[in-house]
Amino acid sequence: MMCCSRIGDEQDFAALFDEYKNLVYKTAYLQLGGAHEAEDALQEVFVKVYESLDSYDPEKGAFTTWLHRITINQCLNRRRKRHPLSIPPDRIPWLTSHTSSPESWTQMSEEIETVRQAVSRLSDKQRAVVILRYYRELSYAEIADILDIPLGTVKSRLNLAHRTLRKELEGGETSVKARFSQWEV
Amino acid sequence: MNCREVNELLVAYLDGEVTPSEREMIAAHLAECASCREEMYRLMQMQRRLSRSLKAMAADVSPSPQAWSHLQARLTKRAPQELWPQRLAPDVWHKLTKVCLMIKGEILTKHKLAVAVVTTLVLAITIMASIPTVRSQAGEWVARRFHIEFLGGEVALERFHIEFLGGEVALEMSGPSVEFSPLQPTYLPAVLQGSGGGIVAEIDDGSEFIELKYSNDERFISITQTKAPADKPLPAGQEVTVNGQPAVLVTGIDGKRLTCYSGEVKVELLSNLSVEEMLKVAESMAVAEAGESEG
Repeated sequence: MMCCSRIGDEQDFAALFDEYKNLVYKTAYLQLGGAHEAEDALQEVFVKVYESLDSYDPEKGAFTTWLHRITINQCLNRRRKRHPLSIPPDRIPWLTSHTSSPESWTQMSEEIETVRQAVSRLSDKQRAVVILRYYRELSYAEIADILDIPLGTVKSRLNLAHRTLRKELEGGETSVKARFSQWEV
Repeated sequence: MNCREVNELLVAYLDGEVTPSEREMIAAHLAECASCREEMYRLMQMQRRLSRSLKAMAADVSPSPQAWSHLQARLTKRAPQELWPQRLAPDVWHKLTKVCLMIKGEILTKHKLAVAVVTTLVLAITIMASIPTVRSQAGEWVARRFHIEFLGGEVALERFHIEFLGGEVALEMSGPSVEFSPLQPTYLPAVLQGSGGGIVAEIDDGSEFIELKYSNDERFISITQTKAPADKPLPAGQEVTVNGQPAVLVTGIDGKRLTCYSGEVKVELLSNLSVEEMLKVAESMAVAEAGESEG
């Protein structure tokens, strides 16, 4: 597999990019909430990979674990740099890529939008754990490894995330739609 | 286990992330407690919604078709930094800048220089030669950026050829002095001040050169000096003047090469600075006084 060989030339690196671009992009998209942000993160992640490939040690873990770590860290750094005082959660542009008009909103699954809105209201760290667990389906140990946190912290973040999500999801569609409308305008 | 303890573990229980003994205790509690069972079902339902929706959100999105070309452009832009020794061998570069030719624009004595350079060049060549990726990338980069033919007699790039392309690595120190009076810039753009380092060496045709480099994250300039040949030839390119003397500017993709003469010294500047800044640096080249930075 590409990940274990040395990246000797541009073609090798292009192949590696091709193999893993979706993994990075989709994770960044969910974490950051927009196509434009995900595109930028994708670039930053692979620049980082290019620069630090020498530091990847296959004996210390899977390449995808290493890549997820860089991806999540890059996403968290982007948010920290751009929003040093932490932006209100409902300002996260979750809908910019798909929903630019009321018409397209109505065409989308309300269920997905409801969950999308709820997840956008999690803290960045909680959202990262949720994505790695329920999108990537990684084990708690893998998540702990990627985020460099204790196993207990993974559990507590997931518990907190579930509490927040329940409040959002059990609050009903109306409230979610209302916030969406407010944000769009 | 009571209800509060079970509730704390329910998410992990559903994710299969509890110990066998916890699993047993939770299962026993759930068998007896209807409200905790209800709580578990609600959590289970939410996890399914979450998983299904996240996958649906990500299903239809993908990087733009230009993603790879954008990345290529970004990596290419970083190439000038990667050519510098600090990228290739930080420890070598550290030694070089610490003991070698120039720190903050001042030149050490030639004797000290000679001792330092022999050590650092051997180390640098060993390391560079051991990194095939770096070797090939750097060689290609130099060719692409400055449109220079490696075997065309350009001294500075002859050295690149030797170091990066795996040719003869027979660099040797020429002795305690170079055969011309070295120059140093008395003007540098503010962004590059204090960012310099340099080397001196003899290449295998017996000529010597001094190379001074200044760089930050965005800008760089490399100033190469050699003893001027008698006829002072200039390459083909845009004709300009430096201190009233003829000089030539060659523009590459995102770098420029300025060739000029200052007395007995041939000076070549490779840089991504503006032409105006490069000319100002070239015009400021003045004879360096050895030993200024001692102590």
